[in-house]
Amino acid sequence: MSEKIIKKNITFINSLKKSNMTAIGAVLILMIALASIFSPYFLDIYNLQSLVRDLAFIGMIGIGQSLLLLIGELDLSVGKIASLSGIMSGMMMMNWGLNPYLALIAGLIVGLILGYTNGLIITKLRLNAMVATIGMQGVYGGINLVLTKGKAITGIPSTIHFLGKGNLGPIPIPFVFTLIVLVLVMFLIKKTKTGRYIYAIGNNKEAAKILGIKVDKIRGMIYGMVGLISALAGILYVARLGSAQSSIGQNWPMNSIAASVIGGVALTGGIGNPAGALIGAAIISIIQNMIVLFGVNVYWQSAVSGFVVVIAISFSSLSTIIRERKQRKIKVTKVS
Amino acid sequence: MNKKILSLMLTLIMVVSLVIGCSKENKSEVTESSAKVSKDLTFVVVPKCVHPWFDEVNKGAQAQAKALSEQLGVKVTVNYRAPVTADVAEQNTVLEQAAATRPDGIALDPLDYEGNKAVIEEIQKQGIPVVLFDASAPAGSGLTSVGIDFTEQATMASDKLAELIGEEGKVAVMQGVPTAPNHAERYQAHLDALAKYPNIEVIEGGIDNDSVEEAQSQAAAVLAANPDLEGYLNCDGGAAGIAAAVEEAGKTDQVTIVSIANLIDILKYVKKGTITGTSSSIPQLQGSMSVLMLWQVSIGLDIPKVIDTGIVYIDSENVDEWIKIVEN
Repeated sequence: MSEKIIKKNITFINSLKKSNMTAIGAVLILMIALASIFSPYFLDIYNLQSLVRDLAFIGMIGIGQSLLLLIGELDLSVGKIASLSGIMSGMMMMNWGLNPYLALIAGLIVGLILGYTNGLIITKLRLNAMVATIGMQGVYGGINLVLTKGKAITGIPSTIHFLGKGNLGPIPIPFVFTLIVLVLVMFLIKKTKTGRYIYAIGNNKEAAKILGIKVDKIRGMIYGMVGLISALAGILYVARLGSAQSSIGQNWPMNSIAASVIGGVALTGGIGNPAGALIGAAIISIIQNMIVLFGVNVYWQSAVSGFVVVIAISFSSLSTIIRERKQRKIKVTKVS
Repeated sequence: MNKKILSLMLTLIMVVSLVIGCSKENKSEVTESSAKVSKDLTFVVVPKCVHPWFDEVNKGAQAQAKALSEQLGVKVTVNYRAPVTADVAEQNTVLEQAAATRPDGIALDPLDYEGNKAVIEEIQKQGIPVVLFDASAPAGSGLTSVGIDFTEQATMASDKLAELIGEEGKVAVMQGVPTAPNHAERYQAHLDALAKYPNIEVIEGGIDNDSVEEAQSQAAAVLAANPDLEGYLNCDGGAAGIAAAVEEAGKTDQVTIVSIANLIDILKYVKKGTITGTSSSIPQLQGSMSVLMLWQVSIGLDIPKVIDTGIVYIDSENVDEWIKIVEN
């Protein structure tokens, strides 16, 4: 019995050593420690809740984006899908008098349709994902402006505000949704055939096709899922602000990609773990939070934030380089 | 003799031709000026980007066009052409496309005068008048500017906040888009105004880039770092984000917000009491006066170099009236 436990522990430690997430997790812990030491307000419950609430949105979109990165693609229209879904929800509530909860569900369906539309266009017309989603970003952003003329939809019923502003115990509700999304996505990639196929597609799309994997079907499904996750973030932000704003989510495409890459998801596909995107999102949010807490001059904020992101990515990359060198040394020793 | 007769005849011909020529010139002048009065007029309004504030400017411009149509008995049209994003290159493209339609005048809110300068000069060379709105005309540009004194607007907000918090306590000032001249001018004006109050401590309130989302996340961190914060000022239309953060922190009774602009979400927070007041320009009047000035230029009248459309302070007293104006 005890041998089994020891073996399990050794396996766990070995997997930690091999994982890119270990380095990035260490960076996150180091940042939390530094922030706690140098700012008396970092561990303040309100600050932590605000921080976690902020990272919930980037994390949620990052988890979705990491799924696409795993198949070697990305979606730059996630922010526009989020804002358009939020605007549609808001309009259904305020202009059509629809029940707020039904309007939120309708907003999710809008996001799913928009995401799946991206998937269909990319797979059926064999378009480059980045170029196609830049185009669709314009389409969705344009529809958004046609509907709102850039104006906020105010007066969102207070009955749904708790979804964005509220807490479940000490945990902000948007973060609870992020965790639910993470659990479902992790179940998909770890416990289902589709999950294995996702990695296979990311490693070699053509080989996956030869093996009989329905590549385009899976790609379309993932785009739909990303649209759904984006819509969830969008409608939760509507609940948080108490108004639907057309400007929401402008930084989400880049932040979600950055969060995924910081979390060890490769842009080339087939490598990484969506949980890493959540760690990446946490790092991005903590950087932004620390910059304000430490009173960094506002003109320096962008430069400092970018610099720390590069350092964070470097940690992950360096750990891979060191591990590869060690493996090469072992091989050379064995040969000699 | 023959020579005398010939020279007399030639002189007579010259005088007659001169008289005929002059009368023709006069006739064409009269015809041209009457054409100026009688022909339909088209003006173009080019804002910084698609934004609800500029929609209000457009409202005023359209109302002025309607009034002029009724007064002059000709059709006065205002084409509103907003760049999708706040990008100088895109705004220049919109300007060039507008000039290609040969309008009778263009009202422009320049994103960056130096970046727009070449295009503006090219348009003026084509004989199309240009006036600026919501921006100061740079020295030497010779352009008329319709708008407000941003320093005065921010000073009004700062002084009001100082009064509300009893001229003592910690006040955060959030920046807008650092590269936007009007945001930068308001920020400096806030600092200068608050410097008059020795018992007010000014701290950096973050930077929101005219985004409600960024304003909320920055304000949340500022509130966490400064539990004793008593006041919040800003420089653009992102105050709804600050208000949302203050509500989330449960500090609506502790933190007084005096904002800028009269966007509907800001007005709703004023109505709610989370934002105490807002120092606002009157965008509708800026649109209206821009069109009026362009019309005056189009009929050959001189116009002033600066048209100040005034600032209004909106609080619980007059917020309902402004909500009606903006919502309609």
